[in-house]
Amino acid sequence: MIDVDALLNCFGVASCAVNQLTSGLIIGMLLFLVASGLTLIFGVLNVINFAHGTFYMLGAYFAFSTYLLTESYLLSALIGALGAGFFGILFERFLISKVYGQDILMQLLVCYAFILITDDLVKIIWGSEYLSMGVPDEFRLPPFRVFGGFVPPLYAFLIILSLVIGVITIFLISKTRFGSIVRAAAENAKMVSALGIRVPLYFALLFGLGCALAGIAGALGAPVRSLTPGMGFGILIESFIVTVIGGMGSIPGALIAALILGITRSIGSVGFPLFVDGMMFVIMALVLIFKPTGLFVKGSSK
Amino acid sequence: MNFIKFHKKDIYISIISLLILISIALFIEHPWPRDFLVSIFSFGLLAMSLNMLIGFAGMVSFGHAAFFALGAYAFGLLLQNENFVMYFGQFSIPIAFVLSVLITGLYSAIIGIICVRLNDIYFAFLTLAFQMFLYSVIVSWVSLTGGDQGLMGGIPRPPFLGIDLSDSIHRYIFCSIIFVLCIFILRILNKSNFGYTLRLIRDNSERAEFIGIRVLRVKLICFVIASMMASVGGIIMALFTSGAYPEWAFWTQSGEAIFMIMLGGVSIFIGPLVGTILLRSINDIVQIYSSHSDLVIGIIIMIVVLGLRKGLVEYFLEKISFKKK
Amino acid sequence: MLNIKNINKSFGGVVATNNVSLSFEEGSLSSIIGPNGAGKTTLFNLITGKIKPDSGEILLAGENITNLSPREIVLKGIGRAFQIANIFPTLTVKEALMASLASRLGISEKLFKPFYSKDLQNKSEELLDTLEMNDISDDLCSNISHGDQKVLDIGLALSLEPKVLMLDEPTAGMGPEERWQMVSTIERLWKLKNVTLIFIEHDMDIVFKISQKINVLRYGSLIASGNSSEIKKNKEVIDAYLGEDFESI
Ligand SMILES: Nc1ncnc2c1ncn2[C@@H]1O[C@H](COP(=O)(O)OP(=O)(O)OP(=O)(O)O)[C@@H](O)[C@H]1O
Ligand SMILES: [Mg+2]
Repeated sequence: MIDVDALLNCFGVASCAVNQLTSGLIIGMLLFLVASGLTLIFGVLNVINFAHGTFYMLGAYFAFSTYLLTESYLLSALIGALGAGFFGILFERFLISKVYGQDILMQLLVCYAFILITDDLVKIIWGSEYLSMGVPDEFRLPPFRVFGGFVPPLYAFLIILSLVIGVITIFLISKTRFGSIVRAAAENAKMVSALGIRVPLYFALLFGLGCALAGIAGALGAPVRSLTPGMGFGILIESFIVTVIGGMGSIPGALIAALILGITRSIGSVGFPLFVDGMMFVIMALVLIFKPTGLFVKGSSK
Repeated sequence: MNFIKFHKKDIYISIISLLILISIALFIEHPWPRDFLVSIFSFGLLAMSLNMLIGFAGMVSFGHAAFFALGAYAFGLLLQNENFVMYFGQFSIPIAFVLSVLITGLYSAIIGIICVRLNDIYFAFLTLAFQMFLYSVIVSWVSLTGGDQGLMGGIPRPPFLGIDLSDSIHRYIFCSIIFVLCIFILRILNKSNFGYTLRLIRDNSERAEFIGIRVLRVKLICFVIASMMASVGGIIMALFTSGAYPEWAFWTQSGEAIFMIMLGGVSIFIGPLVGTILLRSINDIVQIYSSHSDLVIGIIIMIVVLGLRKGLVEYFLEKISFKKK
Repeated sequence: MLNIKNINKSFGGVVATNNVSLSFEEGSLSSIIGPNGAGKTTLFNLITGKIKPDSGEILLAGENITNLSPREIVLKGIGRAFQIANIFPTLTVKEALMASLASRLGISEKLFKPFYSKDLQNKSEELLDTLEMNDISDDLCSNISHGDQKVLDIGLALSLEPKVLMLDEPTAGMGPEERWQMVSTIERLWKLKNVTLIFIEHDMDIVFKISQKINVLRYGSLIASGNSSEIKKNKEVIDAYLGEDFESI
């Protein structure tokens, strides 16, 4: 099942190893952004956003259209994030918040319906064919040479930017007033609203932030991936696997887990192409059996 | 004997339903009612078995269709294997049937051991994740499953005991019997000690543990039985279409099943079946008038979930009892 | 009957149980008292296996049950009712008792055995008689009064025919009249079933009236143990309940 020769051939040669690692890092970092949004929403609101992948898709499509109009990749990424965040807030306010505290069945159904509706709307607006944004002009530069391998500047930029966004998010949640209000409200919403703080507003903003993280991942990844309605679902499952491995609610855990998955995927595409997905599930199952709370979280998932 | 006495009413209802179903085949020549009903048998079993998890035991699975699909694929693959058919000859179909159900049971036991320990949100997501695992296996293992295209080339249906499943009437009657039998079994389970133990767990699993219930073990047994029932639904579909398709393992199939349950109501035993009929009919109607059925169905779900906040059937039952007062 | 030896438990920094040793005689009726947060419920949780002690031993009739699961401990004979009535909202009172009896008889996992069997029905009716709950036997557990829910909670524990019955604040949230009714129910059941009964209670009148032995917890430590008159004189207890005049009770 595992093609050892191919693995040795690749990782014996520096250039191939560098290429694989870069692509692993890209997959991992984008996945990290999506998963950090999911884990953030769960950590505070105790809701798993089953429609999270939809915001990743929306981010990608918004970025695609913005890029067609403006030819600016950075602006596209920004619009992708803001658009996804905005729709995230609407989704929270008008749909999912209506079923907070209710049977999880209701939450599932709302998310299921939302995914059906948005996927179909995307199909109507952008068509059902695969779309591709292509490498943006800003990044049509000669690649860096690292250990004999080539790293396109876009890739380096994506990896670094994702990391920066991750750090900013952690800062936002742990060090700012917004963060402390949200965390306090998560502990005791009644108490915080008694202080005159509009808790629902903060919850909506936090939900929007989580969705914006998914959106920016979709937007940033648009040049290296193809766009299709329904593209969000695969990434939803992967980011769920990330949060299981890293621990629900932990952003640093999500980073490490996402990198593990990213590297597994890129190595897997050389060494065990048919078993790449399977490998992710095996890792997840092992974590669930031996440390059900995730590798980086104390407490209980029971 | 006690058993028969106790279930007398259910036995009568089952026999009468079966007679009605069979007479449909005998008196109506047009294939449409049979085709519609076979799809109800199949998806009805999916929904009814899912309700054993959701309604009886309070375990909200978002990945139940995986077992439906696994049953269908296992059944199709076994019968497409020439050696298998050669070896078992005219008993191929019953043996493939039983084996497929057992294979699904085994697979669900493995998934269940991992999942039943988790809390409800994790359980929902994990069952979904494992369903998508199966889906990705089906889609990528093209040489075995035909990938995106589904199991091609038809499923051989060698006659057994005078039953020829390639004949549409025979097939329909066979499926009716299996269906009624399965619903009857679910009914007995629902009214048995086990069924009440599931209610204990659904209502308050901590307290159940403190009166000596082996909560995890009972949940696992329930999970496996429900999965095996779903696989029967899948087998019926495989028989009907003479194939198996990856859509059956796709997450939307599970979402649909959950909505069927909600439409019919979790608290009424036969509710999910009513939900299946409703949703299948809605689906058929929407598909005639719109090429964007997902959009329409999505909106309908939103209206039912956020507007009525309960199943259609429960909603109307309440309306009626309200009027009576 | 039940012996607790040097049990310790802390949650993070909070020491909820501090080196507690206690014993309960067979057939005795004892109480555990102490201010809010003293660690009374925690002690119950430790005995019934809901949480595991950091150190120490729990013996039931000489047998070490310290590391058993809640279910195993229940089967060994320790039944428990909870501080907040812990019942099954969608079942009727009778069904809840029947299901519990089924568990006792080891038939709760029987897939095809009809639940409404003569045997279970008869047994549950006996139990309903004992609990004096016949008139509400067909009501949903969630619809009966708070007091009845507390009695049912006790009934669920009793259905397992325990040797030790542990009641966490059986009179919590009741009015005075209901309270004394509960007290007489408890005394009646204790005599009838011959169990070793341990209850947690805040109402001193009740405690002093019915307990043979009173154990006082404070900040997780056992500060006194003895009969009513001993406890009433105990200096530390008087300090703990500053302001309450024990001698007058
Ligand atoms: N699971 C837990 N995790 C963390 N702390 C706990 C836990 N259970 C109890 N505690 C703490 O242990 C201490 C003792 O709590 P416990 O519930 O045993 O008190 P109690 O005597 O039953 O009080 P009350 O009369 O209010 O019921 C409290 O400070 C409580 O906050
Ligand atoms: Mg307490």
